[in-house]
Amino acid sequence: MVAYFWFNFSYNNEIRILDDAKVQNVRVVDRFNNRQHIIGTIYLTDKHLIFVDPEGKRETWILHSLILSADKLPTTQQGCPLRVRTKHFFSIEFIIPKERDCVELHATLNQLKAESHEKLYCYLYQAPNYLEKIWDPFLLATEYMRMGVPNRDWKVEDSNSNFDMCDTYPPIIYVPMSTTKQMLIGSSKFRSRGRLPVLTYLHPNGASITRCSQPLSGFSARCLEDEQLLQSILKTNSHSSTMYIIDTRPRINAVANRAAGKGYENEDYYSNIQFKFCPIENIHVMRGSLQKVLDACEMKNPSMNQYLNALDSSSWLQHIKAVLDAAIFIARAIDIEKKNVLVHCSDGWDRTAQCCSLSSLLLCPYYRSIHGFRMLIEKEWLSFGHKFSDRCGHTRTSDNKEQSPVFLQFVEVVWQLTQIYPTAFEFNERFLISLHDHSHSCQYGNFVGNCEKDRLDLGVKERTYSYWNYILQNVNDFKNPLFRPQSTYASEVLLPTIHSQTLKFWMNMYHRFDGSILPKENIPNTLTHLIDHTAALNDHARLLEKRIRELRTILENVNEQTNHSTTSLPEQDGNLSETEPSQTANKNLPPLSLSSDVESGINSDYSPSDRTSVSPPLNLQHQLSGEINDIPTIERIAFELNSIALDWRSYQAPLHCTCSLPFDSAQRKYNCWRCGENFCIRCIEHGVRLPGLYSNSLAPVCKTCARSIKSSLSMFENSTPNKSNDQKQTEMKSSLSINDENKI
Amino acid sequence: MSRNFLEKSKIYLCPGKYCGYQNNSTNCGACQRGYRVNTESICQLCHETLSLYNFMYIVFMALLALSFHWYFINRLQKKKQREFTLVKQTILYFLSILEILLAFIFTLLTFPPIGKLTMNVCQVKLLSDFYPMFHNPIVNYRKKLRCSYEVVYPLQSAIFVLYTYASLIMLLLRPLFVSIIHQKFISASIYSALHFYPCLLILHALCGGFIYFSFPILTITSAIFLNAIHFTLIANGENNWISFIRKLCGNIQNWIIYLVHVILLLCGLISLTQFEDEYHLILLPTVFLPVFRDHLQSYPESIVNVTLHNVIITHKQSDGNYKELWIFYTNMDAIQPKFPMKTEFRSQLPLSPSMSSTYTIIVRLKTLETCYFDVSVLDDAIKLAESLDALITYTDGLNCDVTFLFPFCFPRDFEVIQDGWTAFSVESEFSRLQAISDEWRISDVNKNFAICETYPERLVVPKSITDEYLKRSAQFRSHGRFPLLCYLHKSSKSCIIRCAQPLIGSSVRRCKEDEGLVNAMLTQRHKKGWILDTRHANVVKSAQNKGGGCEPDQHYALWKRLHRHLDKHTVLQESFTKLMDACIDQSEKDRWLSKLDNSNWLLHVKEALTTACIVAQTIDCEETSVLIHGSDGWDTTLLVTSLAQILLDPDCRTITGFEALIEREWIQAGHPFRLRCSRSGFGRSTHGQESPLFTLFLDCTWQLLQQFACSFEFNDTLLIELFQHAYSSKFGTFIFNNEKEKLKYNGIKHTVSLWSYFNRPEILHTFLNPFYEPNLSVLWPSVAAQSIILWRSLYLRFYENQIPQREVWDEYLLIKGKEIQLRSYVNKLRQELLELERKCTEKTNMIKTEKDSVVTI
Repeated sequence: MVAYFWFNFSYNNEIRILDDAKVQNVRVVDRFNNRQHIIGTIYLTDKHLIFVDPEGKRETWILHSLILSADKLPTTQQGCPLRVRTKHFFSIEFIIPKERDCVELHATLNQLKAESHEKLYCYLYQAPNYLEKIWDPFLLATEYMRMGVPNRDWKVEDSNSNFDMCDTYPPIIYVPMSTTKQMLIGSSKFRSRGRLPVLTYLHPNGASITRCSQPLSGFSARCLEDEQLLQSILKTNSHSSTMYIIDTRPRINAVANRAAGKGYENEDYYSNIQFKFCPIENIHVMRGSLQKVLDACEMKNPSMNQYLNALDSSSWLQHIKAVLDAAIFIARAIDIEKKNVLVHCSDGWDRTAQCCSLSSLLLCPYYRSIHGFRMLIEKEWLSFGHKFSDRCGHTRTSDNKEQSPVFLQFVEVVWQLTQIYPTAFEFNERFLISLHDHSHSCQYGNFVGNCEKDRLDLGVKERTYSYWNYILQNVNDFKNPLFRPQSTYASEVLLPTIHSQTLKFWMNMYHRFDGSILPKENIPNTLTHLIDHTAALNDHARLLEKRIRELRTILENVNEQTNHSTTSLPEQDGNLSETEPSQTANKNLPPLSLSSDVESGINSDYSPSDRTSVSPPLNLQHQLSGEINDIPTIERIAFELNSIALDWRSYQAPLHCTCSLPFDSAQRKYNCWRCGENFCIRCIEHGVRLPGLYSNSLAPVCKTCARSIKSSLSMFENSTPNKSNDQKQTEMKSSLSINDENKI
Repeated sequence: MSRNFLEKSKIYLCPGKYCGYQNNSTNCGACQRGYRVNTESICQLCHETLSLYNFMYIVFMALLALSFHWYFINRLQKKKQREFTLVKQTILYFLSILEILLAFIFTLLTFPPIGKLTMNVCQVKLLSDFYPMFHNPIVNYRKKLRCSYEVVYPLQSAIFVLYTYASLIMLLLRPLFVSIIHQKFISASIYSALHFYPCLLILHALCGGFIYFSFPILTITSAIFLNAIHFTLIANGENNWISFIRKLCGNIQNWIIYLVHVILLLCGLISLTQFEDEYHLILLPTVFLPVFRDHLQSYPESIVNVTLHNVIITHKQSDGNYKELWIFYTNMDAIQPKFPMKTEFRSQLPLSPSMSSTYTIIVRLKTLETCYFDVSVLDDAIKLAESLDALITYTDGLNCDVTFLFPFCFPRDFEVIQDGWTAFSVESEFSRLQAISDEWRISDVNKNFAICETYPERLVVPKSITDEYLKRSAQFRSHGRFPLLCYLHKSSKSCIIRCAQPLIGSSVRRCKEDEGLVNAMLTQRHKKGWILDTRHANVVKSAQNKGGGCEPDQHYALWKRLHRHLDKHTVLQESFTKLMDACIDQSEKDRWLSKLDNSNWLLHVKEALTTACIVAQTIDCEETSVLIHGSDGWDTTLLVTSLAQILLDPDCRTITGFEALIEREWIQAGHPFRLRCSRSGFGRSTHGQESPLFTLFLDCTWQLLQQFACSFEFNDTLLIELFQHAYSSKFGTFIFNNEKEKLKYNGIKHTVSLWSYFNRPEILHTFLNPFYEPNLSVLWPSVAAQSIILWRSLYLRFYENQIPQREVWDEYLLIKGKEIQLRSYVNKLRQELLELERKCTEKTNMIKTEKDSVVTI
C-alpha cells in the first residue's frame, strides 16, 4: 500500500477533522497479497480521507475531489467493504466492521464532493508560503507573436471580445487577412456552437493548422461565407493549391451526424480541398475503453493471458495509436506537403484539441520545453475551450456521460512520444502525471470550468493558485535529466513511424500505486539522484576553490608580513567591508575567471544592499586589537566541509525513511545535502542555506541536519562573531596590503 | 548496438583470385609458403588436417611411380629370363615397394606438423588452385600483379618431395642389391627409373590439377581396363576355362598383378566417395543486385558472392571504398522468396516482372534481423534462393561437420588478454566453494567422459561419497547425469543440486548409492529438502512407462517433491516463432497484443521466473537444499538453476560472475547449444531439437535487470550480444553440444573463446552499467503478470529506430561520469584545503612566536 501525499502538503495548515468522522479497526485489502491485511483507522477531514495504520507508518491521504467513486460492496463475514476509487487510478478497499459506520462513511463521502464550482477545492486550498496567488499572465497574443502572427496573411480579430460570436473561444481570434466580419459571422452561424475556423498554429514554412467544429451542413445545406473563409485560409499558403480538411471522426459517425443536420463539408461546394477522415472514436467509446483498462489493472493475480487479453480487449492502445496517427498525419501534411490543414471533429474541443496540440508538439521544438508545453496547453486546451469540468467530472452535478479521458489520452500520447524520443522533451514523466492529476484535483484554478468565459466568471485568477506557478517553483522535480536541446531529435520536426508494437503500456500511470509490481530500482530515479548530487558537488567545489585561493593568498601574505612591518591598518577598514559583498556578488562567474576577480576584488562594483548584517569594521577593530589574531579558523572550514556530504546514500538502499514511511519506486526520494541520507518529502526541509555552498541557494536538508545547521550557524554568528569572518578578513587584508603597496 | 553483419569498411578485396594481404602488409601480393588467401583477401595459415581424398591423391601418385617401377622390372624379366629368377624378381618388387613406402612416410614426416604422419593442408577448392600463375591480375591494364605461389600447399610440393625421396632411396638401395647379387643387368631398372621420374615430375607439374580432380576415375577405369588386358594376355590362346584358371593360379606374379588391380580399384572407389563436396550446393556464385536492403538502410548496386560459409555483399560506398557485409549461413534462419519457387508455377509468372521489376528474397536471420535481396532476373533469384536454402539446411543439418563451421576458419584478429577457455575452470569455482564449506572435493571419476558424456571431466562431489558410489548413481540416472552440486548458499549453506531423471521405470527400481549421494548433499539433516521436477506430474507418469520417472517418496524419505511444469522443445520453439511473427507483423489487420498473448512467450518467462523464485525462497528463507531435474537435466533444469543463482548470488550479477555462470551452468553442464540454437524465431524446425531455452534464460535475466536496474554490473547490451553469439558466432563457445564434443574436435585449439573477446577492455566497457551499485541481498522480483514486459531492445531492435536510445545511453554515461569526476575533484580540493590550512596555522603560529619573542625583548 502506498501513502500518497499532495506534494505541497504542509503541516502548518489546520486540519479540521469532521465530527464523528473516525472509524476504527478498518482493514485494508492488499491486492497482491491476500493474506496480509493492514488494520487501521480512517479519519475524515473536510479535504481528505485519511487512513492511518496503528504504528503510524503508513498514511494514505485521499483528496475528496479526486474520489471517483465510493462503492459499498455486499457485506461479508469480516465486515462491510467499501471500495474507493480515485481519478488518478488509485483503488483501495476498506473493510469496515460495523455496517452502520460504512453506510455513514459512504454517505459522507458522497456529500463531501463539491456540488458546484463555487465549492471546489481550489477555493479552500491554502498553499505553502512559497507559492503566491500570482498568476503568470498568459496572453494568447504573445504566443501568436512568437509564431509571427499577425503578419501579411493573418490578422487579429477581436469581434469575440464579449464572447458573443462564440462563447467557448477566447476573446481574440486569428483569421486570414482577407476575411471580413460578415464572413466570420456567417461562418460561425454555420458551424456547430459557433466555433468557426481560426488559426492555432503557423509553421515557419507558411503552412498552418486551423481548427473549427463541424459544419451544420446536413445533406445539402451550404454557406457561402464559410466557403469564402476556407478559400481565404487556403490562400494564406502560397506553397500549395489545395488544403486538407481533416475530420477526426470515423466516417460512420460523420455520416450519422449528417442525418442530424450536421456532418462534414461537401466536396462539391468547397473547391480545392482534400477531405480525410482520421478515425478517432468518440468520448463514450474512450470512457468505456479506459474503464476496461482500469478493470484489467485491478485484477487480482491475473494469469499472463488474462491480463494481456484484458488489455487487448480494452483497445486503449489502439485508440492512443489512432490519436497519434492523426497527429502525425497532420504534421506530415504541414511539414512535408506544406499544405494548410483544417481540423475538426464534432464540436471541435475534444479530438480537435488532441490532434492540434499533438501535431504542434511534433512540429515545433518550442512546445517540447516546459514553458512551451504550458503555452500549448493554455492555447489549445484552455483558451479554445476543452470542457475540463465536464470531462473530468469536477462537481457532483456533472453528467457522468460527459466524462471522458480526453486529456489523459493527450498526456499519454505525449508520454509515448517521450518514450520514443527520450532526449527531445524538457519535462519528465512526473510532470505529465502531475498534469493529469491536477486536471482532476481542482487544487489549482487552471483546469476549473469549461472555457475561458467560465473561468472569468468564477474568478479563478483572483481566488485560487496557479498550477504553473507551482510547477515553476518545483521545476527541478519536473525536468528531464536526459533533455538535450542540441540533439538532432530535439531541434527537428518529429515524424515517428508508429506501429502497434511501438506503443507501451504506461505502467507508471495506471499502476503507480501498486508498488509491489513496479520495478524496484529504476533508472529515472537514479538519474535525478545523480543530477542532484552533481549540483550539490558542483556548488561545493566552487566554494572549496575559493577557499583554497584565499588560503594561498594568506600564505603568501604571511610570508610577506614577516618581512614587512605592519602597514597602517586603519586605512583598510572601509575597503574591507566592501570587498566581501563584492565577492558574494560574483557568485555567478565561472570558477576560472573568478581567480582574477578576487585579485581585483576592490575594483569590482558592489551593491550596498549586499552588505552583511554583521558589521565588519567592528570585527576588524576587535581583531586588530589582538594584532595578529587572524588565524584561518579550522572550525569554520570544518563546519563548511561538514555541511556537505561527499557521498550520498545510494538511491535503492534504504527501504524506509527515518519516519518509518516505506519507500517505493513511485515516490521521489530526497537526499539531504548535508548527511547524504534518503528522506521522504515530509522529512526534508527545502529552504536551508548551507555554508558549504558557494552560491547562496536553498538546499534540501533533512530536519535533524537543518536543526544542527541552524544552531551552529547561530553559534558562529553570535557567540564568536569574530571567528566567522576571520579568515576572510585575513585574506582581504592581505590582498589589500598588496594593493596598498602597489598604490604607494 | 552492434550489427550482426561483420562490417569491413577499410579492407577491400585484392584483385585477382590468389592475391592477398600478408601479415602486417598493406600491399596485395603472393602469400608466403604454407599460406593461402581466404575469402577476406588475407593470407591464412594452412591448418586443415589431411583429408582422405588428399591422402588418396598422394597415395595415387606414389602408386603411379610404383607401377612404373614394376612395369620396368617386368620388362627386365622378359629380356633376361634365365638369370632373373623369381626370387630375385620378387625381391626387386618388394624393394621398389619399400622405396616408395619409405619415401611416402618421409614425405609425410617432412611437412608440418614435422615428425607426425600427417600434414596440415589448405583445402583445394577449384582446378585453378593448381595453376595460380594463369590468374595473375593486371591492375589498371598496366601492372601485372604476380601472385603465383603454391595455393594447394603442400599437395603440389609433396609430390615433388615424394619423387625426390623415392629416387634418392632407390639410388641407395638398388646398387646395394646389385652389388649383393652381382648381376649388373638389374641396374637397368635404376636407369629406367631415372628416366621416368623426371617424366612423372613434369607430368605432375603440368597436369597436377587435372590428375587431382580425376584420379579416382582414372584409377577405376585403368584398374578395370588393365585387369581385362591382363586376363586376355593370360588367356591368350586358351579356350578352356580350367586351363585358364590353372595358368592364372599357377603364376604368383599373376596373383600379385590381380591383387594390385583390385587395390587400385578400391582406392579409386574410396576416393570417389570423398570427392563429393559442398560446392554443388552453390548454384550461382555471384549475383548482381539492384538493391540489397535491411530495415535501416539500402545498398544499391551491390554484388553478392555466395561462398561456402557466408554470403558476401559488396557495395560501393559514397566515398568510393568498397564495403562488405557478411552474412553467415549459420546466422540465416529462413529464406522467404516472394515468388513461386516450383517450376510448375513459373509459367504462370508474367514474362516481365509487372509491379516492382524485381524479385525479392527475404532472408530472416537468427539474430532476428531481416534483410532483403532484390534480384532483377527471375532465374537468378530462384537459383540464389535455392542455393541459400540448400546451404542453410546443410550447415544446420545434424550431419554437418562442426569443423566446417566458421569458428574453425576464423582467424583471431585481436590479442587475447585472458584466455576464455581457461578462465572458468573447475578449480577456481571449487576454491570459491571451499571458502563456504569444506565438505566437498574434486573427483576425476569422469575422466575421458567415462561415466557421463555430457558432464565435464572434473566434478565437485561431496567428500563423504566415493567414486564407486558416483558410478552406480550415474547408471541409475538418465544419460549418466548423476546429482551434482551447482550452488552453495553462503548464509544457509543449503545447496542447489541438479541431475537427470532417475531411471526408475514402471518396476520402480531403486539405487541405494544414488539415495546416499543425494542425502549426503542435504546439509541440514533436520529439515527436509525439496525435489523440484520441472515436469508436470502426468508427464512424469508417462516418462515412468518409458523407463524414467521421479524419485519415489518411500525411498527418498528426506525429501519432499514439487512439480512445476516448464515447457520446452516444440512448445517453446513454437511460442518463440509466434512471438517473432507478432513482432515483425506491421500490418494493422491483427491486434498486436492479442498476437503477443497468443504466443504465450511472456507466460513462459513468468513461469520460469516464478520457479526460480520458489527455489530461491527455499534456499534463502527455508534454508533447505533443492534438487532440480527435468527429464535429461540439460534444458529446463539449467534454466531454473541458473536463474535461481542470479537471484541468490550477488557474484552472478557481475560481468565475470555472469560469464562464469553461463560457462558453468550452460556450457559445462552440457546444454546442447548446437542442436538447440540451429533455428531461431523464424525458421521451421528441421530435427525437432530446436528450442530457445537460452533465449528464455536471457529474457528472464533481462526482466530482473529491468526490475533491479542498479544491481547488475552489466547492461542489456551484454545480454543481446550473448543472444547473438549463441545463435551465430565466430567464436567457439556456443557451437558444441557438450565438453566431450569440444575435446573431440579440439575446439580449444582451433577456435577462439567468446570470453576472450568479451574480456578485452574496449569490449567490456560497452557492457558496463553506469548505475551499478553492488547489492548483496537476495533479489525478490515481482512475477505478477503486470510486471513481465516484452524485451523490446532485443525482439524489436531492428524494427524500431534505435538512435534515440543510443543517445540516452550516452547521456547516462555522461551524467554518471560527471558525478564521479566531481566527487574525486571535491575530494582533492578538500585535501588541498586542509593541507593549506595546516600550513597557514603553522605560519601564523610561527609569526606569533616571533612577535612574542619581540615583545619579550
